[in-house]
Amino acid sequence: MDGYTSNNASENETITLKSSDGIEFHIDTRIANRYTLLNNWNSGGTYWFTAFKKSACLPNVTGKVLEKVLEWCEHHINDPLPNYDDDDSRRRNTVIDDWDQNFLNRVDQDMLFDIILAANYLDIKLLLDIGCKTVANMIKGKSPEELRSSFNIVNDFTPEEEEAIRREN
Amino acid sequence: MEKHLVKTSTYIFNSSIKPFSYSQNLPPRLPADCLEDIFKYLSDDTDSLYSCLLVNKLWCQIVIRILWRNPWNLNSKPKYNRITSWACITRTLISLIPDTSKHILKRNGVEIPPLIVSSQLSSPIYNYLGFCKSLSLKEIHRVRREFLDLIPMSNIEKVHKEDLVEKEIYKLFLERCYSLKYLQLLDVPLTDCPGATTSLSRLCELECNANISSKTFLELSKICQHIQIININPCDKDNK
Repeated sequence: MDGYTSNNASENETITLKSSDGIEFHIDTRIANRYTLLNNWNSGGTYWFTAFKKSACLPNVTGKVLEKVLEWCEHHINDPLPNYDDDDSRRRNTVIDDWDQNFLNRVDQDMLFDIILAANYLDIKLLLDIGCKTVANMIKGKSPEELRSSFNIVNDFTPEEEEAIRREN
Repeated sequence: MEKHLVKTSTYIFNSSIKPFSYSQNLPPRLPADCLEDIFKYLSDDTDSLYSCLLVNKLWCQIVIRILWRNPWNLNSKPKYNRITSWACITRTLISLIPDTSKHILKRNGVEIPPLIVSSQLSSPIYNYLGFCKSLSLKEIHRVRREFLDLIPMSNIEKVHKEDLVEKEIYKLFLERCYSLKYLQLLDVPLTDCPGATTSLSRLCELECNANISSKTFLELSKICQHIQIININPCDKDNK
């Protein structure tokens, strides 16, 4: 099904998204419809707009991150909507298309994580998927020490716990 | 940057026996649900998952569920010696055996040497079987063999103890697994397996031989409400 034709929004209609740092983005209503931004979510209610309001404040997404997320959404505005019900088929599909690959290659790790967080928060599953695939590819072949170093993670195991995990697995 | 975007971690690992106490000062950069999404893309890359296991406690708690979902897939552990892996799994399983089973084994001449127990913690970090989704006879037999290899007794004695050990291993799985999806059924009365009402409640596929008693099938019908496939293999005796 094509999300573009599934709603009644015209191409010229826009809505306004306001980032946590006050930057306003005027976006095609079809993007909001496509990614359920127009729905009443349970995430605070008042932050999210309804179909009757034409603007919304996203308290957890900065302008810098929202700009990247919207860049991705705009590029994919005419893509067919995937079947989100089948989680396994999403997992089997490990291909990242060239544009997406290039899109994520141009961001640093902090931004990549922020995009994943924002996609998760805004429930943009396909963007979340390609973000997760990209991080999975970064993990492949690395030792625990290399992973901690790459992702700036503190080892919070006690030596006894670490030894137990090694022994039991 | 916006740390408040990190959702409060509500990821609950009900199955852990002794959950880690967290000492991290910083909130995780990516929350548990995003990490789980990431690690699922590594489901076929056991080496990478093993590395993730040892990164920190949060990663460990998420990865352990993926690794133990089907721990029998040892062929995909190229860096790990296959024999060592089976021995390692078996030792971990032995450490999960409840005292009642240990007493039954002991009464029947199968005493788990203190060396095995003391080399493990008294109880493992997790109830690993709580994550396991699949159990077949092939795996039970392999674990049984590894188990008996650890017991100092003659080969003839071991042959005589096979059925006993097999039954206790089977009972262990049915007691400790919380949501098996696939099971190859042994002809052990479910009344001997008090955990079966939980472990088999979400069973989707059942495989068994034709020698299973009708009473067991009746008991199963009360527990298993989600079975989609039942494979009943003909017994040799029936074919004669």
